[in-house]
Amino acid sequence: MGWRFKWVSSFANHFNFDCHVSFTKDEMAKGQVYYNYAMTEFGSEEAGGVSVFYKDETGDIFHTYSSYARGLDMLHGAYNYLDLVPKGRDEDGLTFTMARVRHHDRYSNGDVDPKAPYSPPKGSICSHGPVEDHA
Amino acid sequence: MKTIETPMPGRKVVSREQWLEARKAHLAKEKELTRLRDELSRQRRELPWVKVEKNYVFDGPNGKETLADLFDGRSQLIVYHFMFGPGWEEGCPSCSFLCDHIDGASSICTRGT
Repeated sequence: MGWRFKWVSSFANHFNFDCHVSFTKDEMAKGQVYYNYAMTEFGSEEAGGVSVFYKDETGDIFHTYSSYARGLDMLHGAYNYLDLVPKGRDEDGLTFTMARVRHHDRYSNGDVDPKAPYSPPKGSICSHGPVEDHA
Repeated sequence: MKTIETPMPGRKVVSREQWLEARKAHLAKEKELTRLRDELSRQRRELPWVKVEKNYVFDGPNGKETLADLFDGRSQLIVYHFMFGPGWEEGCPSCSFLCDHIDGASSICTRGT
């Protein structure tokens, strides 16, 4: 995707489960998971979120903050631009709020079909729109 | 100048003077939000912390890296949890949209982050 920021995988550890953004098969089977500080129905084994840590001079690490769902709004610079124009985010009537969002190399001439049903990432088990609908 | 309708319901075309009056009234609300957000951010910074007791080890381009390694010599670390589960052939489009904004914020590395 051309990004320069650092990527790491948490596959081998419990980090994303401890941060409440990955859910076990048992949790999924129960129909509700703990996400965004509450039990909620959720159709994916994975959820989005941001977490902040501080490391002091002795090397001790502290978790200071986590946010999810609409709490991530301010990290989307594009939304701040759209909030300036008459049509705004223009999400009324969409099947889910991020229905216009694609991987950035998949916009053709700036047009997408916002009425298209949610297309989950290939190989995933997402059964519904993305997490931003769980504000 | 006569007020006329625009193609958008509820929006009107007015004189520059009328526009300026409405814009200034909205500016007052924007300033209120700015100050409220500053205050909310101050309160966020004062939230209590929890010590991380586990030694998380991640797999990255440099091999195994601990959570401490990810700080890369700095004191503050922001992690975005990208939805890309085991067996997925591609990552989540919405997470991808969010991550399109990260590199543009790279100057935060000069602020210990």
